[in-house]
Amino acid sequence: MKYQLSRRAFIKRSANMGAATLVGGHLLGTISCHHGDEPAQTQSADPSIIAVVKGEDRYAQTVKAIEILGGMKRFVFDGAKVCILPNTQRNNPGAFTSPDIVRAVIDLCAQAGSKCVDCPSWLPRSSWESTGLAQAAEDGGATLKLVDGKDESLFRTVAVPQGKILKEARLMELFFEYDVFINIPITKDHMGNKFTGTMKNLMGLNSPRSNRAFHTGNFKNDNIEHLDQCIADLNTAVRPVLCIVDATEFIITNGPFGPGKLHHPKKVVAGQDRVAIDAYCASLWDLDPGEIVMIRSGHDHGLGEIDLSRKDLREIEI
Amino acid sequence: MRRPGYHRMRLRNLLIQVLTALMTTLALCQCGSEREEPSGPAASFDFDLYLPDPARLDQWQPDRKPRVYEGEDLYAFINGGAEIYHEYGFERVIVQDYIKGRGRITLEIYEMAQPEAAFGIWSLKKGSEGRPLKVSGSGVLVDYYANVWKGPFLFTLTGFDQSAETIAGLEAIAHAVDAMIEIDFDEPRIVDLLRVEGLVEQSVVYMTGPLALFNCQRLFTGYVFDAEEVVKGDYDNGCRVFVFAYQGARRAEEQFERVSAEIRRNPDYAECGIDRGLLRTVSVKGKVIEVCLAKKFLLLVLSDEGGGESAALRAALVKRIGAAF
Repeated sequence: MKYQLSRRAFIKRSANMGAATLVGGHLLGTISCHHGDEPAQTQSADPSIIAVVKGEDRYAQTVKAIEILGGMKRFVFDGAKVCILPNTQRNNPGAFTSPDIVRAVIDLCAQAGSKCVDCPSWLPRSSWESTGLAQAAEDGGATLKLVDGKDESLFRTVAVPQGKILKEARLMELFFEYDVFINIPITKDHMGNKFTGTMKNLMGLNSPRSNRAFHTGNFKNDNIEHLDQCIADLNTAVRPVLCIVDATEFIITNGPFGPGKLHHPKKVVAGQDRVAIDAYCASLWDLDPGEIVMIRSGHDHGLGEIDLSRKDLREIEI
Repeated sequence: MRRPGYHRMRLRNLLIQVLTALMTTLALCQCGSEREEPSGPAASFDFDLYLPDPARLDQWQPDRKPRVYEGEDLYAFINGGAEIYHEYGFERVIVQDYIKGRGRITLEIYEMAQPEAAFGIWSLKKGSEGRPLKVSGSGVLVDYYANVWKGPFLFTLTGFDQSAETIAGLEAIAHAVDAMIEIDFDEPRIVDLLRVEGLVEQSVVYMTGPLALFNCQRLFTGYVFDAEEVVKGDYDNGCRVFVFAYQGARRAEEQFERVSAEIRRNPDYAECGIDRGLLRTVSVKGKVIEVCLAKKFLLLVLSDEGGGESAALRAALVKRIGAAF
């Protein structure tokens, strides 16, 4: 066995302290797989629910979405070290996660009793500052943990046993310090594979050098399937306990960087099923989820459900 | 005011880069270190060659230092957005922020490997909406941003609001940068092949690789067409046309066979048949796709129905190709 559970995680699991504790031991899908047990689900959070809250107040929308899912305590246990991953790509409109959504998540984690909320990232401080996300983190008492993306010693090799193409990922070493991982992307266009959402955001944990290998390396003969399959493969190794997607205002052209044409569904989408959430977000701008190779591959991997009619979609407006 | 020509800019920067590389090598040799130091283009880069004189910018003042990202370093700037630039052929981007009161504008000047590459990425980024900018290059303003192509340069300006002052500033900066570039370049010749009756000019996109093609139309996930260059245009009868260019007619014939085989194999396509050199199939989305050879080109027409209108368009395009090549 390549990976051992940390002593801390082992104690937490053995103590059977409740659903939230179990979630804490399963940041990495690989750990679950190596031990032969099913990835833990919270005992009380229903993974079939996809919460969609439409409105004008992103903070309030986020709070409501988590409430629909049963509250943050279903995901964050007392004393948990929480890792959050917003998209901080660039300060162009509709290209980064709204600071208000991040503020809400940090506050909810604190209210749920988290020990700390950190934002590990290999993107430069300027990205965090120009997007207002550094301020949002600071306001809520969260800590930016910035690492040099070019320093490979700051990344750990992780096997991807279920990977069809990607056999190894290179995750930030820091990532292994946390109990709970909450993924907070913005959904938007991507010139590389047409769509980005929960699954693609995980490339933000993987080393830039490893991310390059998601492409075939020959820009004249690249294969979208290769890129998207690598992303789906990466998702088999890392499992967020909760995904909260900014679908309030986002670019539908010239992504992921922008500037591009803005679309305004004014929605915050939350849940545990990455595939279903991405499928839902794709549908917000008339993309067919079945045509997005990454979403299809995620479904084929068993990461979630592509058919939204099989999900408990709870949409409200506030 | 200095108004350098494009060639002078490139020569001067080349000289600076060679000198920088020599100095770095000497420094490394002297200290005997095996550690590879970054070349640090920002330290030696002459931004004045690219950035306009602030006095010409209607009181928009530079904010923060300008930055330059070259080659692979583009990933440090736009991360996953870098691939499409590399597909076309990327050299460097110069970034400068401007402020005026509460307004903010970011200018990005992308220097591409060839004027065709700059035209291509511009044609993809500009979108099919917006209004033309009055510059000597080709410029389009959409809502809060603008893209301008001139020679081997694409410059992208982002205003962070749509106020009249910001839009005016955006235009002022676009004009000033445009005036600094003395070289111009005609669009790639293949683009003109699309110009038959009914073409929606703003829909034209020039491509040289799979990412751009996938971005325009999801036909296959791999680059089955493997063309030297591709151009896309939409027509007012609802048809969409792709022209794929190859080195010669023989190569185009081989690709026709390859595309036919892929369509037959691919479950996303049905009712595939070839009749008198015309491959016809229907996608799962219900789009009719017709592919035919025209000299060293493959012509692909997408339509809702196929039939008369697409046939007339195809005939006009084949005639134009015949006249041009």
